Amino acid sequence: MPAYINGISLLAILCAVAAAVLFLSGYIKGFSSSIDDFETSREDARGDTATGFAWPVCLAVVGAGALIALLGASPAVIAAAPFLSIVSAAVIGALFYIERRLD
Amino acid sequence: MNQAMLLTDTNELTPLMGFGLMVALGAFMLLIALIVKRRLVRTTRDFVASGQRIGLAFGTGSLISVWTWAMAVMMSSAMTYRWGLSGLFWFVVPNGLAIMLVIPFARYLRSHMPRGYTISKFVDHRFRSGVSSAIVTLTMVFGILLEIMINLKGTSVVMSTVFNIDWRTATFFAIVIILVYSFFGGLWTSVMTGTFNTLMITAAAAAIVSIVYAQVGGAGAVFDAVAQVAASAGAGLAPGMEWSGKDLLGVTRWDTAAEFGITLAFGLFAATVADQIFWQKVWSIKSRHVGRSFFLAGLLFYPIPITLGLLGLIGIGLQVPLAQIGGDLAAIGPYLVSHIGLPTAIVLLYVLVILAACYSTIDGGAAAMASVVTVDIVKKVRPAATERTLFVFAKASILVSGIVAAVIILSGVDFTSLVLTTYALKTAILIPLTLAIMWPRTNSIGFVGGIVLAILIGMPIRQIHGELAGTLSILAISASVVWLAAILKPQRFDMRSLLHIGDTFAETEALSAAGAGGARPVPAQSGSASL
Repeated sequence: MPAYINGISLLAILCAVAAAVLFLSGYIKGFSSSIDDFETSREDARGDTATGFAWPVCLAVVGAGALIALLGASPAVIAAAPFLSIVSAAVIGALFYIERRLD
Repeated sequence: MNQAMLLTDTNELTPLMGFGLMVALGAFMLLIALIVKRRLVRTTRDFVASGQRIGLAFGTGSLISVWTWAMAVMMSSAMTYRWGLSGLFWFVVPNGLAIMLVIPFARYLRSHMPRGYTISKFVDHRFRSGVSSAIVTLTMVFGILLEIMINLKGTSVVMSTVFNIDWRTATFFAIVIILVYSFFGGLWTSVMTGTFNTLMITAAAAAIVSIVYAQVGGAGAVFDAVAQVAASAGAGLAPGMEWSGKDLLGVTRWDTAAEFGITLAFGLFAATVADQIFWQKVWSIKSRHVGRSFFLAGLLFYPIPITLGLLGLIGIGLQVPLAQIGGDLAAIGPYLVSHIGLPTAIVLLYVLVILAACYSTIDGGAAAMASVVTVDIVKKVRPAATERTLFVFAKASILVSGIVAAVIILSGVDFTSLVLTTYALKTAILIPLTLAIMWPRTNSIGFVGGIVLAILIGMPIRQIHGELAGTLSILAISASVVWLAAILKPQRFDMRSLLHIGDTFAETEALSAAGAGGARPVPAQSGSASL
């Protein structure tokens, strides 16, 4: 086994591939939905009714800062941090599937 | 973990591979662009504003991709390499917040001015002053040009570091490829290709960083090596940039905050709030998803620079001298990935990550330029411009902006003056613009006076006393002048009047349809329903 493959990097590769599959399937769905949407020629001007962003924004900022601080506390956090990027990819992929439910 | 791990040459990585990678990514983007052109673009409104039909996922993905500059991908590693984790902290935390700070302004303007398309158009109607809108338009144009230039520069850094390609050739190649695919489809192309690129800068980047850590002995080895470097006498990346005796694994270093963190934070806030790339998205994402898209973009962006910044710790652990990587901090990531003996395929994937970040920001900038040129320049100078004329200008502006940016870079001209001008305009405009949106008592004298005085007084302060004092002065002066002007000349703008502003593109389409019966009919004013 080459040095660059250990338990964590192997897990990261597998998770990244799984997230990529979800992302790409969502992307294709989103692409075709955009075309369908365009071809209906129907205007959708419903307003932005989502509210209450202040606390989630504060939590996101504090969370990011805390995570970086924790990188300096334990090597385990350093090893785990890249998995959050994989989560980002997976969430975007999932958004393609759930965005209509958020209407 | 020691310097013996670093290879002295990377013969396997030939310039041909580098060119192949650039062309392959460009060809894939072109394929997407051609589908977009055929299926999603019929009018200038589709080209410039995606018909205001971008959904939540594409909105989120495209916001992340335009905000993740090629330099940002490399700078997160660079700042960690320079300052330790406090560098990463100050680089990352304001970066994500800058996107989310747009939310209140974006939601407010989208609901009050549903057919805005550009921030200059808002300022034009808000103050009815040619000077005000000219200043904002100029800021947007300079800002976009600078973004294209910085990303081209980032591409040339990585291509020359990894593949030993001449930086001029890399710049030329990159801009030609990006302009070819951006020419088709406008904003839709930028959104679709940018979202795809998000996959590269998230999942692919994460796998690469984990692989790099495994190759150098794991997170534990890097952690111990960094702690050891901090404790070793004389360790540093260059004279004046010492590592020894510094808290490299902590985030509370005051020198990091004072020397770059606080200034960067304000610069980043100005970079989003005073940037047409973001305002174009505000008026192109479906109105009900605007707030959520910006929030999710900020939230999901955070792991990207954190992950890539971890490469900087390896740079410290291996005590790579700055001179060894060509004297450019930004080169540390590409240098490490290409010099630790990883298989060529992994190095190529890393370069693809950076190219993806570069391409998506440049095509986003080009699409934003199309909106500024059509809405704020052509329609203003020639209100009766036809749909065809507008479309031609939209496409031409993409080409011209890319060519101008490339020529400036290739000429080798020191573009410090453009950087300083854009910095001054963006920082000076930040508070007057936010007040213009949220405070009805802001008037045109305060708006223009605040920006002009902030630059005239604040820039010399910056030159004499440094970036922090200069930035804080510019912000304080611009805010004070707007407030003073509101007291001296009291007036209240009726924000509801923005609802009656006509749709630039619908008017043009109606004119063209009346003349030739060609364009797809678009309702002239349905946005008020969003209230």
